[in-house]
Amino acid sequence: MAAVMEFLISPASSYVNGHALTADGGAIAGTGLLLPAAAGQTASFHGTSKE
Amino acid sequence: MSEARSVVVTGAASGMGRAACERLAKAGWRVLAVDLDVAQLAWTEAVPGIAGLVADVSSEADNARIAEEADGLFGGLDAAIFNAGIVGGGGIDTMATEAFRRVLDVNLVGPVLGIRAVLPLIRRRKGGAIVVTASTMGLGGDSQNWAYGAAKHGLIGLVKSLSRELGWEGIRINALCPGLTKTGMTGMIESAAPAQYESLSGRSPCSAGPSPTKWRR
Repeated sequence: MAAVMEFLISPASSYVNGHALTADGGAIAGTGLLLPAAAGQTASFHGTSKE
Repeated sequence: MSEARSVVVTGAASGMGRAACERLAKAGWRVLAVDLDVAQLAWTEAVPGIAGLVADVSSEADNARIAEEADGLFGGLDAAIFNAGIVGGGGIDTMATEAFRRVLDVNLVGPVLGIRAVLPLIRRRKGGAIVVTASTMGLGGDSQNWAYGAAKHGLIGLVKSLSRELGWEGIRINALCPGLTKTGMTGMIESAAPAQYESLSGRSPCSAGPSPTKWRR
């Protein structure tokens, strides 16, 4: 998190303004519509068909 | 760089705030580390480039004192990181109104007062950057966490609005939304509700409970 803070106050982010930057390892990226994947596994469904 | 840049960091006694202070000092920033916890802020005494200041971020007078201290030390500011925060959980029927107000005071009103206090110092440098620590709870919601969520949603609204107000002056403002990060604050959840903590930790495909300084690569 400290590195992200440093980025946000550095010239490297000079065109980043009004942004809410998520740093959660993808925790809230899922839709919750598929079965949750266990560590190291993929979800049970892919695309539109069941494997 | 001809002159070291200067920054104020609140919530600096431990966790993400302390990690930010240490990282920025190593990178050559001059840092004013602010926290309410006198004992835990003692770590700053041994670190070159970092000055410690005990202050309550929810107090207008203390925010004025933070700005005065920064002015005296640095003669202006290039950046400010408003990171101080507290947790506050409980059901909508049961959480005491006073506890709710305290969550808002520290997590939402605090950054507002802080931004107001340091803006003249940032304007003196003809621009700069502000970061507020929001949360993924500012993007979604969870049962028993409505007070914290309301404050963090408010912070993101504050950031988006102020980006339009201050951007014209060359002052950027952004929010950082960390997921579950292992700090003193989450330690409380870990000990009080281990099953909930375990469930939260398991949500991230990258790691379980990253520390403020690193996560799995």
